[in-house]
Amino acid sequence: MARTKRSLTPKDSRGWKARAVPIAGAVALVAAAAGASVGCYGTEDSSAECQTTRETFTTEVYGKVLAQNCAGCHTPGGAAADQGAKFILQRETYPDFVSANIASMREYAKVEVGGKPLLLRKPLGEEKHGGGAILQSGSAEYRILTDFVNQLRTGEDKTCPNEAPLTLQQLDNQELLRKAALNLAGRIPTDAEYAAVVDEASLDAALLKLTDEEVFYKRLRDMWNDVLFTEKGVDVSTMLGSYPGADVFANDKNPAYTPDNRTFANYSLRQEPLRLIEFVTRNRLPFSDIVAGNYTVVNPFLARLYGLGADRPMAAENLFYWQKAEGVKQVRSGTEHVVPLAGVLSTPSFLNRWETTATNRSRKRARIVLKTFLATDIFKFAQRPVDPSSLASVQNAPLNDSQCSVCHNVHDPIAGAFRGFSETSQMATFDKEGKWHDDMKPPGFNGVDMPSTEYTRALSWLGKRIGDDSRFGLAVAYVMYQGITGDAPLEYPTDKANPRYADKVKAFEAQNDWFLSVAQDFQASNKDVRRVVLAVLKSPYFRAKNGPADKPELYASMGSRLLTPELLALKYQATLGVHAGDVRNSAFYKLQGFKRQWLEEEWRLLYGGIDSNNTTKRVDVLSPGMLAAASLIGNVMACRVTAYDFTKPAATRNLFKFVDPNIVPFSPRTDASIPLVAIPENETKIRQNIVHLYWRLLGERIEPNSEEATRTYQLFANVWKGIEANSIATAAKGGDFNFTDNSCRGVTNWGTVKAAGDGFEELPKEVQITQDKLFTIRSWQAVIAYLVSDYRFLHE
Amino acid sequence: MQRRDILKIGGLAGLSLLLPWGTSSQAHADAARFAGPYFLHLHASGGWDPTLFCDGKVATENLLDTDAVTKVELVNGVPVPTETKNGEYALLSDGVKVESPKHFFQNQGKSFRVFNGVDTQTNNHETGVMAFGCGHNSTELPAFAAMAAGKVALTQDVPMAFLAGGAYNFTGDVVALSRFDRDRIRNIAFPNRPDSNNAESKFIPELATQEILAARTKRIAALQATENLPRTKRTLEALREAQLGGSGLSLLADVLKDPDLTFDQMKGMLPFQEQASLDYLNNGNRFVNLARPVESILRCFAAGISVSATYAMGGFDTHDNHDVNQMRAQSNFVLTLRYVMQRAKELGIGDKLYVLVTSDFGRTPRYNMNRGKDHWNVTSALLSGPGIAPACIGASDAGHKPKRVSKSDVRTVLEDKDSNGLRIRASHLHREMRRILEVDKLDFAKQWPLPTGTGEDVLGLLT
Repeated sequence: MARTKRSLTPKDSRGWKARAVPIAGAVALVAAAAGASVGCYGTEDSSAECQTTRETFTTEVYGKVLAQNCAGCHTPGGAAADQGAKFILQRETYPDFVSANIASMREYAKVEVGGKPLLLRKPLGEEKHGGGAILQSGSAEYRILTDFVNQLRTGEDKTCPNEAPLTLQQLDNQELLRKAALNLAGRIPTDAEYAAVVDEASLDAALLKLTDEEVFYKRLRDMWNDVLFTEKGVDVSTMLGSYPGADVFANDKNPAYTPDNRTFANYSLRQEPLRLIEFVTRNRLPFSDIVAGNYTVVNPFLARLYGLGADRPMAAENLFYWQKAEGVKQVRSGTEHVVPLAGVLSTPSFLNRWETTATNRSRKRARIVLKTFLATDIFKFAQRPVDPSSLASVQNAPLNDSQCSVCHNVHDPIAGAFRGFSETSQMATFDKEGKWHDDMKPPGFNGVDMPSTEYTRALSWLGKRIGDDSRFGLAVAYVMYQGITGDAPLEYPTDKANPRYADKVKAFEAQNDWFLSVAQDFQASNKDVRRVVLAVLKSPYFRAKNGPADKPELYASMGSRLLTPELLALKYQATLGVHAGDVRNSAFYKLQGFKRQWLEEEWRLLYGGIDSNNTTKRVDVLSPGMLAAASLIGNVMACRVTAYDFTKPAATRNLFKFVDPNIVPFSPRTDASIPLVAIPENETKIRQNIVHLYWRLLGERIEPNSEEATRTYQLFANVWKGIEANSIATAAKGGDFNFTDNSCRGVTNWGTVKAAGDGFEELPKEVQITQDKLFTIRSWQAVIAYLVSDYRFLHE
Repeated sequence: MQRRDILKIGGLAGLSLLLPWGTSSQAHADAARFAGPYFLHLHASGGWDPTLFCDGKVATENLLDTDAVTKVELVNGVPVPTETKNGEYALLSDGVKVESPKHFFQNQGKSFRVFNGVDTQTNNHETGVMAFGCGHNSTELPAFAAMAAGKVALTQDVPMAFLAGGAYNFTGDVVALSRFDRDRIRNIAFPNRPDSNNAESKFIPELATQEILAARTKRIAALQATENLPRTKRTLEALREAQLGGSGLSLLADVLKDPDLTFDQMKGMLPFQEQASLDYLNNGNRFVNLARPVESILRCFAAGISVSATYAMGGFDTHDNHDVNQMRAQSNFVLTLRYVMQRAKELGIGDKLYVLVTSDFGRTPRYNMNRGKDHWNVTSALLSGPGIAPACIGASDAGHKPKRVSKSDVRTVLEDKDSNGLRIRASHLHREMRRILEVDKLDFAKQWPLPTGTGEDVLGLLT
């Protein structure tokens, strides 16, 4: 259908009118003057409640009539489709299902019997409708359908004048760069980088540059593990007898066996699918290689396990040395065979994470393939109350009962592509002569049967077709969007009785259209995943800063996300320059500078993270326990960083560039009866430093005399006054000059681990700070503890 | 008056006075203690086979021949398998007798109301889990456990109101979700202590914690006044609620005040005192390890810091070697259930605790080619708690197909085709649970309605 006045490029996604606001302190929403609106495409009907053809379809026809009454059978694989029905609907999981369905209805609406469209006869049970009478002629649903069919039969789309556009305040270029740098690269931009983002081109360049940094690849692995959960891993002992080198890692009688090597082999297996995704991205290969590539990646440990050569020895320092590899070998009946590869799909971690059984027959794997790589949630295909009585009366129900076949017809052919991989022991060897099940749909994809000549490399055949399918780009967009924004894509709303249902549908459709444009751009760029990253960063879903208070459904998925434990760990390091963890002197941690992140280890689950096994859903809002954890780690970090930062020259400090420990808010006293006298010039410096901290830690630009600065200054001053008063009160005992804990003293370089890995380095004696004589360091410590447990530190 | 109303009237200026988080204010700590009733949802993940436990069937040729049950008896009205061709029926874990359904329903399990022949309408794990978690099998509603906690959270700051360790934990933002980690309890109870056991140790001066709390409260209010984007509003509100709930976190220390129970202390709870059973359950502290997670949950209830919890145990998806694997999973599960019922009494909360027991669905009456059993939509559920009289409601036929219960009297079982009856669904049970825990009258419950339509009439399952 024709679509007018609608731009869905990444620069103007959703058609929202928005503009960046000036950097300093602007908080008012921007009123848009003109521009495209959500959901309107023309100017024929000027009534206040005008609905375009497309809007009528999405908010009325599909949600209230078709999805409930027709889609159960009239979808690919459904009972009607199996019986040769010409009227076929696509579910909302199908890319641009709206256009596809309107086109289908438009064609079918032309078919008449006795002067009445068949599309209006069949639902009443006329003309041998297989499903019988679905609608009553006087029902509201039938009226909706009738009106819409009649509208389609006019041959023209109904259009409306532009609505008043929605307004949205977006992050300016510098704010966006900061947020993106923290999210993707785990760092704060440099002053030069901030200065360079003066227009769209320079902004794009700066954002894309982040995707070449090491931390980005770690983030990429995390994002994909959030959908694959392959970090659950597989134990190499289950591969004994099946892989050429398994004995080295799993048999403690083998001369080459060491516990460390076993640990490294298991770690490598766990990492393989994610490192393959990293490899494809790092080398700018078509991203479809993650499923279509007839290769994998190995480090020297996996090379040994898979019977391959390696150009570096199997040593701890080469654990992260990943190289492309083909010809992975397995042992079958004493003979080595090469396994056909299909990107991540054929990795042991994937096969083990999505294990199967002799009755499941790789259907679970097919479901994950559909969801992760084809943007298709099979569970949403059909509302299907399963009745045991009817199932018991149908021979081979998955194939022959429409309750089951609507899903099985779609995923069983994909499951068949896993033929040859064992259904009982996940790590048993691949059998290229393995038989498939005659009582299932044959292996294939999208209605095309797999040629029997491909059966010996069925998964490779499937992988290539997935990579070429238009839904693959959509799936990649879904995963990257979720990884970057923290939200799953919106689902088509089902609560049609909700008074804001229409707004929810609009939000869904706008986002769906945006996803389609991102997927098309991805496809056109030879499947460059960086194009997807850029599109997400510049979309309102990442960039929106504030919006109007009304119609919140239209702004669904916008706003700040709770940082994951992994992102929060990165943020501590990026903003404070201090490690949020401890030091472990082991072979594994040595490879990471002996540093161990608390939030990636013992605090990960409690702080809402996942373990890829039993816990696979991230917590997306704070609970009291999580806030307590954030406060605890924040207190530790404030303790570590405050005095430490003061030990550096002011110019190189991260936090205290505008003050020294001698910048006190009041004149020092010797007696509590003496009134406190403020020092205005010091207050100015302290406020100036608070402004700096708000930008560095919270990404928030405030004025020195703003409410926020004043509140923080009062916190600083009140703590100072409290300590000073206590010091005077305890003067006879020497006063209150000591830090509350030794770890708060400025004697440790919290950024540098000793070469031997047995702790952090000590600072030179001459710069060490062992006491807080003027009470300012502890006061600043309170300010840092306050800011690193602030909403805007814990959320982005 | 609900807490949110109090906040509106009291205004934010006075709010900080109510929030001495991090202090040892006993007055506030006592105010934060929740005195019950508590709600625990135990879920057998993967799909259990209730014919082994509470919906026994005498085996016929090639049908339901698990352990070849030869006799089924009614124990407090519950049809339990009691004999096999080899003698007394018991749940076996790797061949060792661990529990018998008869013994269970005569003792710790005698307070349960059992629902048999429940039609989950699905053979899909996620759908079945959702149906029993929230009462709806196509729309994601908040877990009932979350709603029960959310009801209390409207009027009281319970620090870890909803402990989420189960299979279905969606909250719909009616309450915050908490994960429990024994090893971190003292740390989050005292976030300003370098040494959580030393009350004198501090990271930052104590007076600073008060100042920070007050400043943060004002900061949150300021942000809430200006931020409009839905996700920002949602996460901000969660932070505000978390700060309120945090006021009682010091009570967490109570959870650890008593040492863990040892096997010797627990073994009296075991039904079979045969040496082989005791050795098996003491091997690798198997029973202690099984009990530890639910012990923590019960202690959180007893300490008044939690309202509800979900907990799941796996191993039930027995597509292969059903007899061995399902028996093992069910042995562990029933042992844990026994432990919950007995220990709750010892901790003084037995008469305030609701316990819901469910699984994804049931298992086919026939074996597959691997001696496994596949997914079957018919299953059973159990519920006990204050005011719920023990009974067995509903039934399935000899082939484990559902029967109906009379719409006018659920104790009357009808044939499946009888239009005077209905198949029991998860939604029926949830509608009743909402009623007896008085969740159904809350505004947020009305925003998350249970399904309506054919077969969804009100069934008085808990009357």
